[in-house]
Amino acid sequence: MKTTAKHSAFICYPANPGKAFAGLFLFIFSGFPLLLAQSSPPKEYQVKAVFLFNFTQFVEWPSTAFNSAADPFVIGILGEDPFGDYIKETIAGEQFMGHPLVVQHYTTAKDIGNCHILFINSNDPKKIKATLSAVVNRSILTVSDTDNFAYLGGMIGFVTRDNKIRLQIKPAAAKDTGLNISSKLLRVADIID
Amino acid sequence: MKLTDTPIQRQLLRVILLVTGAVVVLTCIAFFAYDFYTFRETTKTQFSTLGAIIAANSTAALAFDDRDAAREILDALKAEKHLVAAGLYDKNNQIFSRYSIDSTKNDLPLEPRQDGFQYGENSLEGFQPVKQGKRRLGTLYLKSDMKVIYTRLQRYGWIAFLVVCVSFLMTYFLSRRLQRRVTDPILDLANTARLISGHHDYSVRARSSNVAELRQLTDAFNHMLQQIETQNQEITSFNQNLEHKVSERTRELELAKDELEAVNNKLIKSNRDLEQFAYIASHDLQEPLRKIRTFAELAERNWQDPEVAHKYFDKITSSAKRMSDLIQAVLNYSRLSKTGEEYADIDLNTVVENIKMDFELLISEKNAVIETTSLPVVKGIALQLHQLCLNLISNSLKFSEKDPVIHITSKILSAREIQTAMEIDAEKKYMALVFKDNGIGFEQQYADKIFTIFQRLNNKQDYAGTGIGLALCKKIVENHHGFITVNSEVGKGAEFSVYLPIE
Repeated sequence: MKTTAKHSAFICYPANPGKAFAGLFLFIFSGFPLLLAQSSPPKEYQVKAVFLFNFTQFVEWPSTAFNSAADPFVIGILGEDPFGDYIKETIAGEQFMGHPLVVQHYTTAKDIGNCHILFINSNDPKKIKATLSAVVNRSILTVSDTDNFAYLGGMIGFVTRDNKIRLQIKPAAAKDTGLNISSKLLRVADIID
Repeated sequence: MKLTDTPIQRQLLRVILLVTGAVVVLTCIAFFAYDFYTFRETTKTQFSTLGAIIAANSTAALAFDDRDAAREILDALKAEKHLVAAGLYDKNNQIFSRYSIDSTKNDLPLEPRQDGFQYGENSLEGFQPVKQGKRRLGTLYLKSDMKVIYTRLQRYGWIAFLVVCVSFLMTYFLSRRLQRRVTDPILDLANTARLISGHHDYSVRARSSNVAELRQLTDAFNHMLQQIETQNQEITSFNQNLEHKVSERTRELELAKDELEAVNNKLIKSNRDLEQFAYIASHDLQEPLRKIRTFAELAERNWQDPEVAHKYFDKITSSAKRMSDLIQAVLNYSRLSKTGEEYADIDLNTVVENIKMDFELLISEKNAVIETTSLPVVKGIALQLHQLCLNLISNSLKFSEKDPVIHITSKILSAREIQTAMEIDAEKKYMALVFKDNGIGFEQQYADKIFTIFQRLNNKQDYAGTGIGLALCKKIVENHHGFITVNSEVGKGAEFSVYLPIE
């Protein structure tokens, strides 16, 4: 955890001369997400992992999202897991309203079970749309770092701008499924109508 | 200035101003202290509330690493004029974002310290945890200068100053007016007392007051004045009585003294008369006695010769007769001294006519003429006035060498018209009765002497008489409160003037 925070601090301070190079590097390659995904150090996904966890703090799920009090709060990852072990470290010992946090991995949309946050790791718009339609009307917060995810019908998209990871949120999509995104979260995000 | 010299008005004013000032200043201090404390607490509470709000708003920015959003949130604090510095620390206690409006003042501590807001030396600063749910996402730092408190203190100071000034002024003017209710009667009383002690006018009264104690004082003062005035009046009337009595006694004494003096004068006069009388008696009465003794011896020696003896016996008889006359005259004179006879209206014309009849023989013998004008009626003793006129006419008839002519006239004079050395009453009028003759007269220097008993200017051989007639005249006139004067020259007759007072 500590290392993650320090890395995030590196990103935050491009003015720091030692880290300026890294910032410039990110800036140059920001136009090539695939390349970035493959070649970037896990720092970016460490931040995203923390963000995924942080969503549990700023989003309210309806009570129907859980069958029982003992049900876990599931963070699902569709496709390849870019976070590695980091996501597990992040959520270790954490709870959401008494529900323990767990990570589940899904290969296809059909595999998606009773989950609450779904990270879709895909750059194929068709596949993404198919996945989104598969989970429509379910109280699942859909997150992805693919381009224009919010425009494709997703709820929260990670975008990289000015060497920082920013959020694009489509509140209407979330509202339709009974999720309530905190205005505080909306405040730090770009709102997509 | 000594305390006792301060007027009561200023004393009162001073006391009132002191009390008011003390009360107002104490009240101001109390309010000031209370407000200062309350305001400090309120400010601190408000500041921590502000911190809580900012912290709550900052959670997402911290959670999602959005420094821009964090700065935006912090920059919203620019509305807080007194904010000096503000900053956010992430959960690793690294500075995450800072207030950027006035960066010159924006000095953040490198690391957050204990949560909570505290007053520092010149600031209010503190750390507010930023939490989402139970998770701590970071720390907010806020720092405010004390200007808000200083401004308020300054404003409070001005207000307190104004309140004190206005209260002082109001107190001054109000008390100046109101204290008159108390001081005016006292000053009035003091003035009255000064007036009284200055003019000794105890009839003045002090005005009463509506203050109970002052009224008692004034009443007591007035009562005292009343008593003094009464006593003064008593003393004055007593003094007047005393003076009256003294003057009465003095007058009585003076009267007594006058009476004594008069009596004394009478005594002196009668004593002188007696001395004179004794002297003259011893002289004049011895002369016939000596003759009688001489002639008796001669008669005895010559008793053989009856003729000679007879001649001596005749002489003895003549001397005895003369002595008898003298004694009779002295008796007459001394009898005049006794008063008490009644006054009556006496017609002087009748008196003169009666005397003419008495001297009928002598007048025809001497071939005398007595002329009278109309004489008045006067008050007097009939016998004495008769004797007076008789003596004067007899004198004129006696002391003459040729045919005597006697004029008797009268006139009325005021006291001022009379030129005389005698003491006379200036208020009275006098009747002058003048007997003028053409007799032998005498030297004017003997004018006083001739009125003395037994005083003769001429010898007995040429002019008979006892030497008592004019003394009798003087005595009679004096008995009638008048006086007698004479003017004469040798050989040219004499003029006797008798002055008698008329009513």
